[in-house]
Amino acid sequence: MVDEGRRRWLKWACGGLACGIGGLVAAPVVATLAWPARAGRRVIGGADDPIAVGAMEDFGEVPRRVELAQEIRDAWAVRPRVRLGGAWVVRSGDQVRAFTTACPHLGCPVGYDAAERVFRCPCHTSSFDGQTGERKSGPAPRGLDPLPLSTEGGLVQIRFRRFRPDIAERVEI
Amino acid sequence: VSRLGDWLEERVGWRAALAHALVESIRGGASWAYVFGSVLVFLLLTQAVTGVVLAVTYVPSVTDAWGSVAYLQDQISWGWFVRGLHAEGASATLVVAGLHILQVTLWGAYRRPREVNWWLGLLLLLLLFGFGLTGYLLPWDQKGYWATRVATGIAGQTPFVGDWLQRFLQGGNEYGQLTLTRFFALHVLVLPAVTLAVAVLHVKLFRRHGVTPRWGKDDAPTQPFWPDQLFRDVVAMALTFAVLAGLVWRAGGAHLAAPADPASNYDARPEWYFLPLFQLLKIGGPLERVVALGAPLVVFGILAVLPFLDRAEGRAPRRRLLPLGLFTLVGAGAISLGLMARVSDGNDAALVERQAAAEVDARRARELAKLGIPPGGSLFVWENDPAVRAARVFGEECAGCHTGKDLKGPAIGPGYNSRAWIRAYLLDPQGARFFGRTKQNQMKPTKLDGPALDEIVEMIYAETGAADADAALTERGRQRFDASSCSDCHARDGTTGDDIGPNLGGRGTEKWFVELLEDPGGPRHFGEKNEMPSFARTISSQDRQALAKWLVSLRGAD
Repeated sequence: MVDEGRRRWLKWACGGLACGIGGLVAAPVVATLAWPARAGRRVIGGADDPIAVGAMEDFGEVPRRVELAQEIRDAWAVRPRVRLGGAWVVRSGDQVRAFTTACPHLGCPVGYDAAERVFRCPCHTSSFDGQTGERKSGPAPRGLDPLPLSTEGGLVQIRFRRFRPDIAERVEI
Repeated sequence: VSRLGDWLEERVGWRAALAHALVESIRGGASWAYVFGSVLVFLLLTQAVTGVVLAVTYVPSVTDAWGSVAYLQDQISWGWFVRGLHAEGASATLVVAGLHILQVTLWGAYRRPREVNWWLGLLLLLLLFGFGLTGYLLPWDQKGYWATRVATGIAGQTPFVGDWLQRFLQGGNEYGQLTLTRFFALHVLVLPAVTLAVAVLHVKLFRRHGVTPRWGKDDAPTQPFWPDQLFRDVVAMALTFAVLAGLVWRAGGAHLAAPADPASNYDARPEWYFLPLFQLLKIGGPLERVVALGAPLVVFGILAVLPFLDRAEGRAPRRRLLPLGLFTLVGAGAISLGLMARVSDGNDAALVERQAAAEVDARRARELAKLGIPPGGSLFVWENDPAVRAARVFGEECAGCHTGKDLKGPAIGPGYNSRAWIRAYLLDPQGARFFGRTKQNQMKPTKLDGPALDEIVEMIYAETGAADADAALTERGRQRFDASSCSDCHARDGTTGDDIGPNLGGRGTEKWFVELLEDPGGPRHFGEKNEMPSFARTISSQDRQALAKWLVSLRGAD
């Protein structure tokens, strides 16, 4: 009877210790793995400088695709001239608009269909107005995302931005 | 040998172990229908071996991954073949897994008491999909990069935890180095370990219950696994490998797209086994989220409960219409969605054209990679292209004086040294876009016109080495040149110097440009009136050569 009680205690102690050891190993492991996922953590980030893409005259009513590159920090590495993404730039008169090429559905790069004058996503067939970027058809939940730009001194400069895909609101990441 | 065997037997008991592995009675007799499990074991072992070989070369770094794969593919003997076996082997594994599941379902082999093993099998199927998904990204090429972005985007749609899950999977706020290392660790460490453990359990449970004989064969005589069944298994393995190796050979190995470029446009397409899911994503609207995330759950849910829906007396298919019908529905649904995706892509002429262009890019990038990946990483491989490189060197070293509004020498751009350029120059040598702003501005506009001017233009054009120069016209031009005041200032033999103007022999050829870049003040070029710096030190000899070639190419660009 004495042994019975002693053994029960030993069993519980074994289980408890094992759980404790497991927890001690798991805690730092989980913390390390989850580190990059914390909200607001910027594992990858750039200087966010405006990127010059050309003069006003270089753009017109037919959208032109430009590529945006900048120095960025990716985890431990600082890398020059990293190609961040593309933008469609369209000008009518004094008004210049820039849209990120990332489809607001799931991020595939949209192309321009000159015949139909629409932007088209090659993946899941969304289409957008060739001037305003408004959604015309397909699964995308909103229009193309505009990028902030300045045209000071006739030079078009764009800041690169990413937006959360597949929701109706426009939320910057 | 047998004494050595006895010696070892006494110490490790290998005969008993081998007997344990081989001695098994197959109820209802050996059958070709039972080979799929063994073939899967064989394929997984092949994947492990080829995977290790890939890991010997592969570097999981965003700057080096593509370059290391291209090196394996194009430089290491048989590298293309091993990588092909691994990539196509993944497809083969899923095909055979499909046949295995089909056989098990038809035979009703998931029924009591084998339910748990059926679930382990489904878990293994999920793990195979995990291998496919994570492996697709590792070359860090356009195809893997863009397709995987869509996949992690879908994970981001999960209710409540989507955002966090997406950041967790991609190792941060954006695709980058940590994304690649995470997928690499999953693919080569986590998934193999888990798969091995589950596969061992799967086989152990299978051995515990034995095979399920075909309906109506329960009373057929039993046969031993070794050699009756194992012979069939080995034949099937050999056939599978022959087909696999043949396909890899015919395709020239696995596909490798151009290095991943976030700023490019690329038509993301997943591997064939994810196409049904891809097609579902075209639905859009509030339904999409439900369907895209829900459909796989429903499919695996249906498969998981099949054993409970299948309680008929006996295993003959005609008594099991409900479970077999559900299975057929799920399978047919997946196949037709996949086919729809294929057909709609095939009918999209613009897409087909873009894919062909991407293919040209891929081949070009691999060709350029043979010159070595520049320090900036795989994407800088394009700068190995002499033309791209030369254009960049021109932009850095030459454009300040030779382009724009503040010219300090002749403007250089497309059409430079074409017939039209030569003619315009002769008519206005002191113009701002020619030599007007330099000390080389003594030459007077030509008074020639008509055929006479054509002859001189052709003769100077011929000096550039242009293949389309008219020989007769050139010859007349030479005679006119020698007889006219042109030859008072210019030689055209390409060797003598100290004339008033530059020697025109070979002017505009690659060799001439290289010499000009090295020694613009030399006697055959601008002599004492030279204002252009020598680039012999500031531009490497390789780049001077590339620049010369590029300058020559401008001629044909009008």
